[in-house]
Amino acid sequence: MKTYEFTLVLSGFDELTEELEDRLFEAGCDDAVLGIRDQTPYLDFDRESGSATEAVLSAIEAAERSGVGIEVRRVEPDDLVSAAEIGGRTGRSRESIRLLATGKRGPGGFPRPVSGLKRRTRLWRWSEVADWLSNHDLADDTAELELARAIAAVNGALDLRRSRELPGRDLLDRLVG
Amino acid sequence: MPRPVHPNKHIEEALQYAESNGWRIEKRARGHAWGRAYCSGRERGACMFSVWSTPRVPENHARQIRRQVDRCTHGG
Repeated sequence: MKTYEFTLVLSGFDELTEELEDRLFEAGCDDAVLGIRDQTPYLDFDRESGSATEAVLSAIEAAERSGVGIEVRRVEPDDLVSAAEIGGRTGRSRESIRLLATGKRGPGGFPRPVSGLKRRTRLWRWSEVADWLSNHDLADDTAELELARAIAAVNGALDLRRSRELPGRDLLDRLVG
Repeated sequence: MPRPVHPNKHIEEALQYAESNGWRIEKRARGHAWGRAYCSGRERGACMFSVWSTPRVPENHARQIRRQVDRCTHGG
């Protein structure tokens, strides 16, 4: 068993109430802290589980089955990251990340950004960056890599779930099979 | 009047850490939440969170409380 640290970004309430607290606690969110920051409600978990995917999914199910109309919108730390965010997560400067990404420093082969063609701020997938760091012995936290992959997949599923009303949504099966 | 002390010492220490960073702790009368914590930000609903009476792992809950305090950007 490992302890996975992640946050569920929620919607469905904008203040803390006793009913909300009690229902979430009884639904099994007693390993999270329930909070609101800048009007965004969230549950911040330290969940012990056999796998990162199980940890995140069981937390989402607990929150949404609490019977208080909560929707889980996103799991953080998010998979899409800027160079500055990569720096923050790895204890390096933004400039150091830029040098690694351009191959001017380090082993080269840094993952390609997934955006940046139409805007200045380039974004990478943290799951790919964490994988690259791990493969080059620049990071040693395998639980973190596992969690990064799980969060990327779960956020994709949450986005897909939100597109329920999209006309021709079943065509998306061609992509996800 | 001093605020009531949380029965778990790890959580109580984390609450004192929050208070030393300008947070206000409010004891609740009943329910699973022992109390609530509010940051010093004056914007509407800056930061707040619930503190459990009996979390699954008290040491983790204490760590979570410190994490919320450290993530707050509203200043003391």
